Amino acid sequence: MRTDSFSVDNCLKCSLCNTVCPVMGVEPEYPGPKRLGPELERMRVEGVATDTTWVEYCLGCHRCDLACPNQVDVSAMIAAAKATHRKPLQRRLRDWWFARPALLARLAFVAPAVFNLSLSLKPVRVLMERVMGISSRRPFPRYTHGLQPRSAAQAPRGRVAFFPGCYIRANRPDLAAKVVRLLEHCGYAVEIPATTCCGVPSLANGAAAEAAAQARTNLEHLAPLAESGVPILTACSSCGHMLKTGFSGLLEGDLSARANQLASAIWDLGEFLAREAAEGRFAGAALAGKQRVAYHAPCHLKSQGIGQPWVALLRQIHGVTVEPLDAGCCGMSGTYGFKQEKYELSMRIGQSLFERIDEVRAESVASECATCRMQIEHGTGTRTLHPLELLEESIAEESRA
Amino acid sequence: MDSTQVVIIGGGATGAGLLWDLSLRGIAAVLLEQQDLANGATGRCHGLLHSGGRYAVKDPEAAAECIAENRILKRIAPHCVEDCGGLFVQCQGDDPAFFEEWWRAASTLGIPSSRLSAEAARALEPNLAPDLLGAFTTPDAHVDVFRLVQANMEAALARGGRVRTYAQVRKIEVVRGRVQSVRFCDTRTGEEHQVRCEIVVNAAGGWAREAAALAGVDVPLRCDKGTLLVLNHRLSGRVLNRCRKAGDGDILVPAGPVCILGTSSVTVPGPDGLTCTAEEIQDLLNLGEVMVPALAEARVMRAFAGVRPLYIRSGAAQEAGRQVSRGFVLLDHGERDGVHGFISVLGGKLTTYRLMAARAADAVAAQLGVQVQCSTDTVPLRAEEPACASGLLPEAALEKLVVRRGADAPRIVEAIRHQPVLAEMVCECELVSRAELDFILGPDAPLPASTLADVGRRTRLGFGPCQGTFCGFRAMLAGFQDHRWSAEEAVAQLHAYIENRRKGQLPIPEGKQLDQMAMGSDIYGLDPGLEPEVQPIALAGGDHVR
Amino acid sequence: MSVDYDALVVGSGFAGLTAAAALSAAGQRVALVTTGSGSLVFAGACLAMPAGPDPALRCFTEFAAAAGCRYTGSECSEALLPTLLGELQPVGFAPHFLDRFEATDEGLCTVAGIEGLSGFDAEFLAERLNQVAGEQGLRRRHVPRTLRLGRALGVPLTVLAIARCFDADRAFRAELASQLREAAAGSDSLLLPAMLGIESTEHKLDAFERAVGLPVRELVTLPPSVAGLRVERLLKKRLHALGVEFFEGFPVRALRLQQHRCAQVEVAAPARSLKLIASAVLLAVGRRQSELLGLHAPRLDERQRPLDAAGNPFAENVVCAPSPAAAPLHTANLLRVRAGFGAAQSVLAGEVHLAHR
Repeated sequence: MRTDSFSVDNCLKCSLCNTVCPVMGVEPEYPGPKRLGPELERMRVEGVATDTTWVEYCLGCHRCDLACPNQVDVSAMIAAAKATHRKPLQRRLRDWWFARPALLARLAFVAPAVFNLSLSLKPVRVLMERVMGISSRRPFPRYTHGLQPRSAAQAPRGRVAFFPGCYIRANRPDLAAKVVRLLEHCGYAVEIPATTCCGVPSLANGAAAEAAAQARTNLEHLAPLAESGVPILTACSSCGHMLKTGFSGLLEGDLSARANQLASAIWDLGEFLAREAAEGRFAGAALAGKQRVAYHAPCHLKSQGIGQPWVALLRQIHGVTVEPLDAGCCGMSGTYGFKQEKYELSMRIGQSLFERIDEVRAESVASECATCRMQIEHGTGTRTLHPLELLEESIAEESRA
Repeated sequence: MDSTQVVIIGGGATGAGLLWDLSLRGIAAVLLEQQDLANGATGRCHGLLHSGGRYAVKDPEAAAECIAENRILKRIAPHCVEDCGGLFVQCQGDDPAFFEEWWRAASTLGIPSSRLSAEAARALEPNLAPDLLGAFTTPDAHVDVFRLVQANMEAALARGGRVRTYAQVRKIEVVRGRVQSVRFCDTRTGEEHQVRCEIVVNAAGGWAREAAALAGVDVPLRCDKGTLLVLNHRLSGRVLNRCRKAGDGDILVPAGPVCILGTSSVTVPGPDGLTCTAEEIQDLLNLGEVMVPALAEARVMRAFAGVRPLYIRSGAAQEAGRQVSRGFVLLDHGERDGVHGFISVLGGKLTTYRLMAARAADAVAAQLGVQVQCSTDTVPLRAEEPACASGLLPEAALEKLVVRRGADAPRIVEAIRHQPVLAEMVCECELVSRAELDFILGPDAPLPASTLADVGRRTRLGFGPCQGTFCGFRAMLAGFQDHRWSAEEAVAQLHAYIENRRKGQLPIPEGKQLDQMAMGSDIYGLDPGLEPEVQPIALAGGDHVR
Repeated sequence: MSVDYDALVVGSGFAGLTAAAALSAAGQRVALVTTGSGSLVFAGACLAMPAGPDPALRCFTEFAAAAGCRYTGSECSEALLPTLLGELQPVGFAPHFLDRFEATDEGLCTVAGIEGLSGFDAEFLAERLNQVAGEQGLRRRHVPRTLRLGRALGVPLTVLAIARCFDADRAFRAELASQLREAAAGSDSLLLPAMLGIESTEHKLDAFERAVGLPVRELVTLPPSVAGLRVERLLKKRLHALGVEFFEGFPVRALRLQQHRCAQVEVAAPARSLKLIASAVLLAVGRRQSELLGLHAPRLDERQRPLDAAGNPFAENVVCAPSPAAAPLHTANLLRVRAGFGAAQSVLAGEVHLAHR
């Protein structure tokens, strides 16, 4: 994909981007990626007023980028337009918070039980909807006391670092523990450096400066590791996508170059384990009983261009049957599905995925992305899990045996 | 027989400007254009509104005219001018003595300029070469040539002037040494017409020699071809000139969403049958890259060529293209050739079109005994832009519509209110709505369009990367639905249009535009087989190549 | 070194898809690397008539039929395919639901348009088809009808919006079928802009046709052509089901050679190239092949291996489906199918495999 200013020159106006846009599929008035991206981009360079509320409705799923036969960086153009887009006060305030999930989590850490309770009270949610435009129909994930950084001991295969991201840090620190066990099982010592939000929510909410600040903080903590050859792993596909592709464009000069170097040290956990498996150092074990697991590939996994490593990894687990869903975007897109004015749209986008899940009748749905899992549970009532949980469980069972 | 006081031959900037000038003086005039407006040099240039900087050293007289006209046009036609400013860029290897000479000349002429360091220039224009030495600022600007000609014609029409396009002059009747009437043919219908008049003004640009011959007069003219390239997006926000003795490939003009690189200078036999070769295009790019290295990567969308009609003053016939003064000439054929009532206005450049028109109008007024002075330097070409209802079109589309259509914009927006389906963007690259297209094709348009290419000149439809592949089809369908064309005529329109658009794309180098064209061939089942590298493509005189 | 795939196909136009189909049908483990869409989607995915029995064409049409997209045509007679300008192009094989003329066809065809639909006008098309048919002595007559859809699908209305609604909404399909049945009453066939779903299998379209009650045929519109998109989606889905692994969205950056073989294919994934290892590599990337091979328009040997300037194979295990020389679209498509099929045969013949497999 061209990520420079010439990307706009690659557009042949074929509209294939529009054919894969999840928003266009359910909202006929949405102008679509071709209009909001390359078409308006030429006008933006010209200096014509191009702002439109519709840019807020881009999911940032990158499907348009992947569908483009000419490598136009469509969604980056829309993201840039988001950054200069003007919103009414209520949405501006709300999106300010949504751009800073790490800050929200820090509030929750003070007293997670109280925090969770209040977010589950109907009157609170109604008030939040009225005042802040956060949909009262959308359940919030439960917050915990959080995850502490840890340093790595010695290990035969050396050191890896784990970037947990906001969700694992604030809501599911148990997943981090499982990641550590899996990697230790492979012979690595695992370090969890102090990091902050990857910046995806900031970009999605038009807060480019905040995203750049987050990128600088993360770079400061991660670049030394990358520079000393330590692989940095993520278990969240959106964090992985951002760490691999997002930082260098937000930063300038030397920092941008360092961000590129960091990017080449970033691995999706599945990608890393698949390589370990391919080189014979790792294999899934057996799970007692039989289960059918449906697998949903998050959009931000697809945008990493690494195939679907978890499908093969899950297939290694004896007793697990994997059913890849291949039914499009879930519609959640991080904070998008929480927004009062976008909730309905988000659910309509997810409809074909929900229907497919019902058709498949799997016991659970595995997906690497936390908000995809939230949406699937909300839309279908089916239990969801991160694929690493199954793998870790199989290893744990094996070692108990 | 129809009659008027003055017949103007040629619908370029000069002819249109003259029609407006005469209308302001209350002189009845008919403009006859053999094709459509701005078909010749006017429609085939950069659209650079010179500050005079380019001529400051070599031709101070022309430079002084330029800076004066630059100021006037920005005042009277703001909707046609994008006042983007310009830079004279000092490139590595260019003569530093010339920079100083330029600086002195510019200040003598009163061309406002300031010196920029290399860093400051690059901060303004990041695509400039990293090794540039510095730059001077100028008040150069871009003028939309099609809009300018339309604006002059429309303003004149509102004051009683008349315009006939596709009207080819066949004979200028001269009786006893005095012009009596003009016979012309409507090339669409083949009908012959005649209009009686007192004065004929030959403003036929590159065709001035042919036009003069129709009155039995010879006007020595040399045609100097310039080739220009249209790039898909703006590589600079300002007009970039290389600060050196004027040469090829050293001007880059931002023009709406695109930018235009030019130009070359080659003597050709006449204004018809111009060709652009792949070599010329590559030469232009190579030269341009010295100043703007990004040209190596940018998508060339189109190549076109126009002629500078240069009047050969006696004795100067042998001089090379750029040496002949770009200043203009007014010939009174009564004095010169004994054909009274016949005037030729020749040479000149786009920037000074108004001045040329004013001088020609002075001569006309003197012959007719009209005392009214020229006022085109103070009367705006268009009234204040009207307010339009918002929310019916996207913001960018509305902005473009208002600039293009002026006082007609509100009724176009109202049409959308009544029929929301008319908000469809027929041309997505230039944001031309169906409502605007219907207006342009319809009876209320001040200058009705006959062909899809005419629609393009009035709206910029088809001027974007698809080069008419998508919008041409939608526009054709609109013409059918509006009962302008039968299905058969509509298809013939489209074929002619696509063929015409392809001519400007064929000679350009490998790259995205060829992919774009291949897609068009697949859609319309056209022969994809022309090998662009080997075949110079004739740009026939009748083609509108922008 | 472990081998990920038996064959790696680069490109998903006619050539790449045909090759992947032929290879996976033969039991090969196949990966398909593709950036966006290929040659099928901009028009109707039609093929010219071959000069005689054509195994490549048969391979493709059988594959398409298995994918739920049967082709109609003959190896011995050409039909005429109306274009969006109402002109008639000769065609050999076309997806079943595209409108085709036989010179002998007669009867009345209702051309149905949709009110407010961008890029399609029934009046225009009927007038034009009647005129062209008249000129060529054909007997089918056309009569225009314009329907108003029962629901708002955006302004301007596009075939894409209709197709997506058609895919997702059973009630919409039923409504549309009954509207069309009424509009076409008394005629022998119905012609629509291609809009009957991007995901529709022929099974679904057969059912729709039954509901309308007369033959329903589509006409290719301006890109994106729903007809072409549908073929491509169905074919890719079929390959998926056959176990072909897809790497979509990023171009191949380089072919890494080792001892005259392509040891690794580097895909330009973000941050770090994705490195894929396959016994054989099949390039079906049209004109881009010159760039990938670093050879300008290379000649091929009898096994479709590209040759360098000295006449030596670029690599033992790299074959090409060459880009057809400038030819009319349907002919080019047929050549693409043949090129992909030929390259796959070469791989299957085992001559281009890694020795140690």
